[in-house]
Amino acid sequence: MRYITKTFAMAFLAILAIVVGAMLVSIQVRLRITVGKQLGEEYLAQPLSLFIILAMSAAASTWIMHITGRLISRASYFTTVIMALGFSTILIALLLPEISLLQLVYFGGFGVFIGVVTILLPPRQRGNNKNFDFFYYLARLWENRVLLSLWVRYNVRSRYSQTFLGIAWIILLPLSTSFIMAFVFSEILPARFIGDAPFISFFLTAVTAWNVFSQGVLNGTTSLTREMGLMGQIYFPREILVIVKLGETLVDFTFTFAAMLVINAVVGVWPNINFIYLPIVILIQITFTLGLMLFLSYISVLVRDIPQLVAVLLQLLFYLTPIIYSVQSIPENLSFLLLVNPLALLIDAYRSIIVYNMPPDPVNLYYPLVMAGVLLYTGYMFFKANEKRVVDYV
Amino acid sequence: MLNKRPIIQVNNLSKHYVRNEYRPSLRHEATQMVQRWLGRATQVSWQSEPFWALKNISFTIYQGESVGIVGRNGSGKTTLLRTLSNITDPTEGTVSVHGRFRTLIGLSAGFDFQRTGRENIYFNSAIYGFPPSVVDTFIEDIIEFSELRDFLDTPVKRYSSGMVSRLGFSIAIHMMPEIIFLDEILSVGDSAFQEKCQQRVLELKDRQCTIVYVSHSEASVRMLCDRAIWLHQGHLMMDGSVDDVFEAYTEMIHGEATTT
Repeated sequence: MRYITKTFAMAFLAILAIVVGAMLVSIQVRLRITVGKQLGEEYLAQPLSLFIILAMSAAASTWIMHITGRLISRASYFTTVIMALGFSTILIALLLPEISLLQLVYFGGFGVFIGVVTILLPPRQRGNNKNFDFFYYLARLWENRVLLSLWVRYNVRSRYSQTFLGIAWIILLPLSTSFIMAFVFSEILPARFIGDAPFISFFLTAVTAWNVFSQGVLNGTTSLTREMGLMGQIYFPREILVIVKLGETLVDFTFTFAAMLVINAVVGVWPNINFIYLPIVILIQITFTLGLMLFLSYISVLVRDIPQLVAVLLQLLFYLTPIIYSVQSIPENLSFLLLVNPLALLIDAYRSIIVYNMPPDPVNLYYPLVMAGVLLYTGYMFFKANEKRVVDYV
Repeated sequence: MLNKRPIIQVNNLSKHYVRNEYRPSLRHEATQMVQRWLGRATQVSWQSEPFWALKNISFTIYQGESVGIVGRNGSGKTTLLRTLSNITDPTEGTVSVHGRFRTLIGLSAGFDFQRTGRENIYFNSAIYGFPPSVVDTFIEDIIEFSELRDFLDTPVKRYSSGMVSRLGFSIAIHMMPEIIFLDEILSVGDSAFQEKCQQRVLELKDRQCTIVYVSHSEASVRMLCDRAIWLHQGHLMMDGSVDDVFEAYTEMIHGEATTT
């Protein structure tokens, strides 16, 4: 029984690698990247058929995994992962003969990353843990929603509890930051226009969206290490600690967003009907951020250097993401950066909605969506599998 | 009463800790490398000494029983309670607890010391699954029992340790638990409060609440418990009536005291 769960976990990883590979392919098709061999027109015309092919290959590899899993009774973790990756790579190469070398590299790279993570930090699935199930955990989490909301409320309140202005800071802070930026970009730097939008709203929109990600990830890395004392004394689903941090970030985001709308209105960019697409984009971004936070929070308990490292990497990512420049201005030979960075596509979607008054391109949201879902699922399962070990690492 | 339901089952429970925790650090690795280079390597084998906080513990506790866990410092009592209350996983073996349980380990039973007493009451109850609207119906009882009405809006960090434990105990017993794990919680308050707590625990016992009580105080174990488990260096030495266990336990302690 225990072995079968492990096989399923591995099969899941194989599917995961395949789907993400598929997404990378679809994006490459979409953006007509010139690196590597081009896919034919038929793939471009029918992205659905591409997905069907990939889903079939995923199912086949799962099945093969299942059979081999039964035959090899004591296959090690490592062998299983390598086998899964090997099978899915072969299948992808067989079923998509026109795939370019670069796509295989992306796919392989992602697969190796997942493999390394699972091998280095294997989720300890135990024989007596019968409830190792995503929906079971979600149900437990739902039972704790009161705790979650109370915790977020107390934390937001206590952040400003000893200040003179009190909770007013939560509005004043983003508003003043935005006004400073508006001043700098309108008075000191010559006013520029990107397309037909003023630079300030172009920039501010992206920064607001970026802040949710960067704040969330930064707070997420320290969320567990800060509450070690509490965790040693009482049990509650540990992911609450991470979600509380996300909740705080979202509360901040609400006010930053409002401040951004004010500035936008001042420079003449008004809210428009395309705002109805905004919840989808925000949801994708939250999912993505939370998935990453769940991974990083646990890993930074083991390796205490992670928070510092993440801070540095976020700096780098800030410039690799089209925030101070536009997606269109990326040179052709660097456009692969868009393929590996779902945030770039998300921020582009934010921009097209808020600044350019256009609905987001759905094809550009496929990859972020799948990446976000996959990250949340794997991150959550990874977190839950290791959650009890956290207190042993105080 | 004859067909009692087993409420806590522990099978071959073992818990393993690494004595010298290995954290890779640049400084350590660099000095090690230089030393190896000079041929003066003093290799520290990090994981050579596994430390079994608990080893092959098995017992069953039935509904309505109150069990005292005794043993010397470092014998694994708190680790056992942590494993029972789901805070940490056993290395080997299984633990199953059927029923709502409340845990009081240490003095501050899951408090955030920056927050006020009142906020902590709501917060702690929320961890146990009680929304603030429900807590409002019995918050007066909690305040009354803890005798902390004047300090309720003071941050818990300014409380004395006795006050913290009073608040923690008051919250826990008002959470209507089926099982309660108590770790040394009664030994902090003054004797008047201790007596009050013991009274409450006895009341809980009358209501068929299962009690697992860790203490060094023989008197309170004798008073509250009708069964005792003796742990020694992670091993289960004895499991039986309070009198028998304490007889053997004190005998061993006297033996150790005289030989050393």
